[in-house]
Amino acid sequence: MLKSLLSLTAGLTTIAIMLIVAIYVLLGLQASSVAAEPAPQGHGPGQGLFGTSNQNNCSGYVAGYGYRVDAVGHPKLPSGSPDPQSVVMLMPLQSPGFQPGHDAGSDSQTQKQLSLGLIACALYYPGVPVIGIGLEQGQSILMYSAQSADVFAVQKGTMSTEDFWARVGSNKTVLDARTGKPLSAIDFVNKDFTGQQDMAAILPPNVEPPSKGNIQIRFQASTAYVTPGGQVDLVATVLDGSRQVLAGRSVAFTYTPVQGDPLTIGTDNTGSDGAARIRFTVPPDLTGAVMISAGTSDSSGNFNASIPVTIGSSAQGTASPASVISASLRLQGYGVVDSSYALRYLSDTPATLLAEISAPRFDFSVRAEILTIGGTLLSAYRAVQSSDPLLLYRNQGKSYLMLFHMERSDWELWLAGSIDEATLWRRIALRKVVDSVTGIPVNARDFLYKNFSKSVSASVFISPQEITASITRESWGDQLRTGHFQVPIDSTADTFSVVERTPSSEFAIFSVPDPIHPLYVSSADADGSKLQALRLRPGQYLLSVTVGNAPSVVRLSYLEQLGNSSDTP
Amino acid sequence: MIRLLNLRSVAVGVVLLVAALALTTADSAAQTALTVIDVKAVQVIEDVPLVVGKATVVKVVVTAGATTNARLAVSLGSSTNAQTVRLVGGTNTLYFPVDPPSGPGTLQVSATVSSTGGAGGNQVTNTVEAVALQKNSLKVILLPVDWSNQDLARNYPARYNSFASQSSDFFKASYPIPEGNLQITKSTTDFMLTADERAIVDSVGNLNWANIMDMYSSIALAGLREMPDADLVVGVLPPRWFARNLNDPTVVGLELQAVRQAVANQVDSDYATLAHEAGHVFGLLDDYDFNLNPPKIGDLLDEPGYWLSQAKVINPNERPTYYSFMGASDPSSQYWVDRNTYMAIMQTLESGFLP
Repeated sequence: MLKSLLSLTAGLTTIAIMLIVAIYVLLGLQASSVAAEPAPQGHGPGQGLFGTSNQNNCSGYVAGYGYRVDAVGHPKLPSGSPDPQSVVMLMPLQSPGFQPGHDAGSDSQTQKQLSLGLIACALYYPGVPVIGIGLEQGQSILMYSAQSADVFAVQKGTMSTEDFWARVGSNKTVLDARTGKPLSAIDFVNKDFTGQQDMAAILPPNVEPPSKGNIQIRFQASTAYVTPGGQVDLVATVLDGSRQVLAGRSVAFTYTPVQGDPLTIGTDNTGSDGAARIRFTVPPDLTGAVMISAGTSDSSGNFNASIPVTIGSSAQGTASPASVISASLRLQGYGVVDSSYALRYLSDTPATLLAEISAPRFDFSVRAEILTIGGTLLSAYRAVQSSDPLLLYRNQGKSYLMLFHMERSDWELWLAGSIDEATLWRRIALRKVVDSVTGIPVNARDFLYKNFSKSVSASVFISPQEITASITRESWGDQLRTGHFQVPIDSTADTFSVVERTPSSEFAIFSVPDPIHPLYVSSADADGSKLQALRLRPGQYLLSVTVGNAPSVVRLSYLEQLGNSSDTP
Repeated sequence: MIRLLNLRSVAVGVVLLVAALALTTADSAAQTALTVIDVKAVQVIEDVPLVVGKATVVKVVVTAGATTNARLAVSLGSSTNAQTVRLVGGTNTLYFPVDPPSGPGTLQVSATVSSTGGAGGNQVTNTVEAVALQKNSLKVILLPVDWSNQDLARNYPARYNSFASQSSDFFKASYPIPEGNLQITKSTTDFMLTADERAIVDSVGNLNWANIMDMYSSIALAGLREMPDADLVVGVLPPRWFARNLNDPTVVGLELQAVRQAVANQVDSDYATLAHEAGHVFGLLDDYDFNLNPPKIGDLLDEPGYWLSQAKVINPNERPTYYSFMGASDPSSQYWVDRNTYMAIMQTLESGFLP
C-alpha cells in the first residue's frame, strides 16, 4: 500500500511538472485555434465556439464562487497531442491568508479554491483520471495533484476529507512559472515571500497571466461615468503575443445602447506606442449604461475588449459624485470599499477612492483599475488637478493600502497621445504602502509615525452597500432587472435590510450558479427576521423581484465585511 | 346455333378455369414465401424499454417471395393494427402505429403475415418492457434575448418561430417523454441584457466570466418569471449575437452549463440545439471533444431509430451520417440519439430527479 502511494505521488509530481511546462504552449494554441474548430450543432465550416465547453464550464463554475481561472485544459504530450489522461487548471492564488511554506489545508480559503478547482475539473473533464491545480503566486506556481476518483470518493463520503487533503498535500510541488522547474521550499520562501517589512516582498508581484493568443487588445475609457452630451476619451492598445506594442493596426470603436445594434464611434490606427485613440461624444438622448467596445483583426483572428460605461444625469453626478462614481465602478466589476476609509487617510482631497485590488498581482487588469478609478475621479471632480486611487491588497494574513497619485496633466497627455503608457506609469506615483492594521507605512521607521493620527487602522473593512432589483415597463415589454453583487473572498455580507420595496412585491436572493433554488425568499419571511440573519459567504449573488407587476422595485442595504470571514470550505 | 354457342361457352369456361387455376397456384406460391422475420416496438430507437404514454410504432421485417399484396396484423399488448400491404420480393420493413403502452410491465409485441385471403404466412412474437417515468413531463420556455430594434426588423417572427418549431419537433421526437407531456412555450417579450451582462469580454480582452454568469442567471430568472415551474429556460439570441459581442464573425456560441437550467443559443442554431441543451439539464456532457486530433465531432448512432412524426427511418449504416445530439456536427451530418444518451435521460426521468 505504501509503495503504491509513493509511486502515485512520484507519478503525479512528474505529471505536474510536465503539465506546467506544457500548458503555456497549450494555451496559446487553444486560443488561436478555437475559431477553426468544428461547430456544435450545425454551423458552417470555419465557425465555432468561444472556448471549449470543458474550459468554459470550469471557468464559469469557479467564477460563481469569486475565483478566476487563467487557463485550463489538457497538457500536451511530447508528441504534441493533448494528454487525455490529465487536465490542469491554473489560477492565481487568491486567498489573503495563505502563508508560504504551509500546507493548503492550513488555510481554509486556499483549501476552498483547490476544492472548487478539483470539483470543476472532475465534473467537466469526465473520465480524466489526473487533475492538476496550479496556484500562481508571483513567479511561482504551487502545483497540487489529485485523482478525480478521489474527488468523487470524498463527495460520496467514501473517503474522508482528512485522508484526501493528506494525499493532495503530499503531492504538492512548487514550480518556477518561467522554467517549469521545481523550486525547493527554502527557495520559494526566500524568493518571493520573505514576510519581512520590505516593499518588494509586500507589493503584489508584477506579473501577467499566460498570454492567450497572438494579439491582445487592452481598452481604457477616460471615465466610468459620463453625462449625456459629455465626452469619453477611448484608448485601445494592441499588443502581440509577447506583449510588444503593435503599430499601424486599425482599431474600430463601437458603443451598444440598450435595444440597439452596435453603433460605430470611429476607427483609428495604432501609433508607435501601440495605442489607437478616439473621442466619444455621448448623444444627448442617451442614458443608462452602454457597452463600449474596441476591436481589431488580423489573419489569426478577431480581438475585442469592452467596458460598460454609465451615462447618468448631470444632476445625479453633482448631488452625489462619490456614490455615482462608486456605482459606475462597481458596474465594471471593481470592489469599491466605503469612501470613509480613503477619506480618513486622505481627508484633504475629495478625488480619492479605495477599491480592492482586482487581481492578486500587478497585471494589466489592475493597471486598468488604477487608471479607471483615477480617471473617473478626475472626470467627476473637474476642479481638482490630481486624483488618488487607493488599492487594498490583502496578502499573507495582512492588509495593505497602496496609495497612488495621478496628475490630471499626465492623464490628459496620455489620453491625447502626447506621452506613451510607460511614461504615464513612470509619472503615476505609488506614494505609500500602509499596513492597514497599524496604519504605519511599511517602509517607514517606527519613530517617525508614533503619533500617526490619520491611520486607517482596520483589518476588516466594512462597507455599506446597496443592491436594487426591479421590474420596469419598457416599450418592448416588461423587463426583469436583477441586481448582481459579489461577496469578495475571505469576506461576508450581512445585516441585510429593506430600503425600498413596492407594496405586495416579493423578492429572493440567489447564488448565481443556481437561479432555481433561492437562498432567501421574502414570502417566507413575514417579519424580516430571516433577512436580518442572512449571512452570505464569498461568491456571486443576485437579487430578483419574484412577485410584482411593472413597475416594481426592491432595494436592499447590507454590510460587506471585507476580511471578516467565518467561511469554511 | 345453340350448339355452336354452347361449344363457345364451354371453351370460354375452360379458359377461365385454367386462368383461375393458374392464379390459385401463384397465390399458393406467394403464401409459402411470406415470412415475418422480426417484430419490435419502437418509440425513438430500437432495443430500449418503451415509455408509458409515448407514441409507438411496431416495426415488422417480412420477406416475400415475389411482389404481392399481403395481410399484416400487428399488436402491442391489447392494441392491434391490421392492414393490407404491398410487399416487394425480398425483405420489407414496415412500421405500424399502435397505441402507446398504458402502464409499466412486460408487453408482447407480435406480427402476423398472411395472404390477402388469410392463408399462409407466420407469426412472430417478442416481449418488450414498458417503464413509467417518475418525472413524466418537461417544461421549457423559449425567451427571446437581446433582440435589438434592427434585429426585430430583420424578419424576427419568422426566424424565431422557425427555430421554435423545428427545435420542438426534434426534441419531442428524440426524448423518452410522451410528446404531450413536453410543454414548450414561446415567450414573446424580448428580454434585453444590461450593459454589464452584455460585456462578456473585459477591458483586457479576456472572457468576463462574472458577467457571463450574470447574463445566464438573469436569463434564467426572466424565463422563470414567465414560467415559474420551467425545467429549462432557453435564451434565444439574435443571429450573430456572439459575433458582434466578441467582434468575431466565426464565433456562433458559447457552451456553458455552470448556471443551472439556463442556456443561451443563437436563433440560427439548428434543429437539434434544444435537445442538446436540454441534455445538459439531465447532466449529460458534450460528446464532442475538440482537444483530440483530429477533433471528435460526436458519437455515431448505435441503434436504428424512427422519427414518428415525420415517418422517417433513421438508419445508422446509411447516408447521411447521423450523430447523437450531444455531439457537434459537420455540415453534411444529421442528428438523432444514441443508446447511451437515450438511456441516461430515461433513467433520470425514471428516478424523478434532475441532477
